[in-house]
Amino acid sequence: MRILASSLVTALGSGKTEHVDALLEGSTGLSSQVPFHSKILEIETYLGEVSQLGETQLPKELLGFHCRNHQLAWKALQADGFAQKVQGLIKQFGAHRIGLVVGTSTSGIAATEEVFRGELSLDEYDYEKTDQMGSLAQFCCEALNIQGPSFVISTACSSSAKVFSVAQRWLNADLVDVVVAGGVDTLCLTTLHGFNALGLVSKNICKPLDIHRDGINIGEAGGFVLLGDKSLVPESLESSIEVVGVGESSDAYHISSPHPEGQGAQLAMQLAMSQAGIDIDDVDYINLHGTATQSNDLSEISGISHLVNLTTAIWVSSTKGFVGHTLGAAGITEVIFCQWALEEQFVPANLNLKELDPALEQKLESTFILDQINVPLQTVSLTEEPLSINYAMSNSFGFGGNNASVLLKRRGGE
Amino acid sequence: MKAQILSVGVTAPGVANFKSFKKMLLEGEVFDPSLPIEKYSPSFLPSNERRRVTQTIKIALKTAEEALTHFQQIYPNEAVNLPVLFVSKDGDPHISAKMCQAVSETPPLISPIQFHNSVHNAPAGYWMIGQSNQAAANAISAGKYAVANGLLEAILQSKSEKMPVLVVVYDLPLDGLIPVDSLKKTCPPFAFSMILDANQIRESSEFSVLSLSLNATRECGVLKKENPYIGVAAAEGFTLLKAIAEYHVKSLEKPMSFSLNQHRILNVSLN
Repeated sequence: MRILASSLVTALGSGKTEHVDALLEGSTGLSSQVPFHSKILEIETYLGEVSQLGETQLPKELLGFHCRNHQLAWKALQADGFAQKVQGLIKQFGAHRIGLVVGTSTSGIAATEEVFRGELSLDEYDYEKTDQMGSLAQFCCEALNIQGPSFVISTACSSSAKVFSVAQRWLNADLVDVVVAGGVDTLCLTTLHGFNALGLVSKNICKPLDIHRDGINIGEAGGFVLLGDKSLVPESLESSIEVVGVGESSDAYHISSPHPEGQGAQLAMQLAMSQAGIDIDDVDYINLHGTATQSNDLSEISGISHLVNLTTAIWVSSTKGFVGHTLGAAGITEVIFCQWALEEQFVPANLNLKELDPALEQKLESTFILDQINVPLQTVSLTEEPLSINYAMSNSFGFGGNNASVLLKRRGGE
Repeated sequence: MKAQILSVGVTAPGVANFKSFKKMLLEGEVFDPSLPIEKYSPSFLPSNERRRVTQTIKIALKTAEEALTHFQQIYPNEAVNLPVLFVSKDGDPHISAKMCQAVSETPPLISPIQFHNSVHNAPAGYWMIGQSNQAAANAISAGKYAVANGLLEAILQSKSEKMPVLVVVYDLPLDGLIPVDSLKKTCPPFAFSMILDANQIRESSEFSVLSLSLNATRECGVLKKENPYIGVAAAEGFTLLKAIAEYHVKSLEKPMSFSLNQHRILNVSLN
């Protein structure tokens, strides 16, 4: 299935141009001084806050859904004309032939937090349309007038990577002609305090893969893609990027720590590649889950060390240093980063990496592939180099040992 | 769209499992939603994990375990590391409420265990750990349309994974602290599970085959007198379980209807 359109809002900005510019320049959206910091005085950290999100107005008929998560969903649906493109397809296929599947970890729980804190009055609060886990799908369907199958996937930080698997199933079963897939997760107190209680929040800017990495920075993001098969869609949505593989697995190891050898991660990547009928030598770039916790990065690099071999030459980087860990929206954010990397031919930097952790190097040396792995410290623009990237894979792993890898291919480049 | 039911599980107040559910129906016993849920401890979990599971996680695991155990008895030679799908409207309503309360206090303290148990896929995560199962595990919410979306997704997943899928639909009433209509906080919990295979029909099954078709109709309602457990989203499954339990003695007059969303219904018949 092809990515016919996409839209993304993160701390870096709104839409493709702002994101690609920031990714090429290597400028981060993380900050230690944003408005949300005033709500978490107890926690010193960097955040990836979407600027002025609180001012986003929902249309009158959707006001009952008002909460931070749906404000971001709305903003993302407007970015790069995404909602208009969906309307065009509804005219072509009918509203019931469009499906919608979205990921989130905390939905609109911020609304209930506000009620408990006395910041939101009860007559402005509707649990079912905000906090309730399925409300994001309901909101998006009403906002877009979609009448096909729809639901929310909530598997923590792999949520919006797994939506690609559902889209494949719906399209293969001819249940729908086009799928809107995406994810939205927004800053909230339970998440900040919860990760802080687990000792996983860094007070510094996050440094994936670095020897001094000490935890995550939490960010927020909303992103959507339109997925469909080429034969049916209008030429105006012609796209060169195809989703060729999705792999899902479980660690079956621990509820909040990843498998130390990255078994589940490895399995998810293998399944994505085998669905696409390729092997690791064909993959040019892996966008890591790369949260910058000690255990995640070690587990993920271990997983990769068992996959890569001596004939592979591969780029890997984590883009968490740009937008933070956007949790339930991390999957969609990073798949869209991969889409744009393939379209514009660049490899995003692994920001804030000064010194690769020797423990990670050791993992790679133990399978003799340290030299095969290329971690760009600055974004590499391939238009000026005699190289190209044609296959990019995005990894997303979550609590519960829940893993998903999504593999993209650029048409025309083999 | 067709799938064979290979096994069924159910947990509700006064209903310990599908066997007793079936017996109660066939003997004309009255269901009493005010009874307690049968006590349960997930013995398949390592002790560390077992200590940490909440009421919500227990209901989901109990119902999952019933279907898998039964499946293993009937089909001892089949693979047991099945992909799973957990469907729940609200996830763990008590943990969510407790966390929201915690962040309204000074200092805001959330317990780390509570936090990792709060994820919607916590039951799925514990299940996979307890079963040493590395297959795909999904956790979804379709709001009040849990039954139709859960069945449809499980069948599509079974097709794409080319093997049976374990689906568990579970819901608890909302927590007393959440400011919603009190009916939503006092209705009975309900959970059911099925192992479904959309790939092959086995001859000796004691269960029937589900046939699903999508139709464009407005939402359909359920009558209170037909469903003593009406309330939480998963309780819509009562009608389906009843039809399965009575399959050999009573045939359905017309297909059962479950809303997929505001605009479409899923018709389900048994053959």
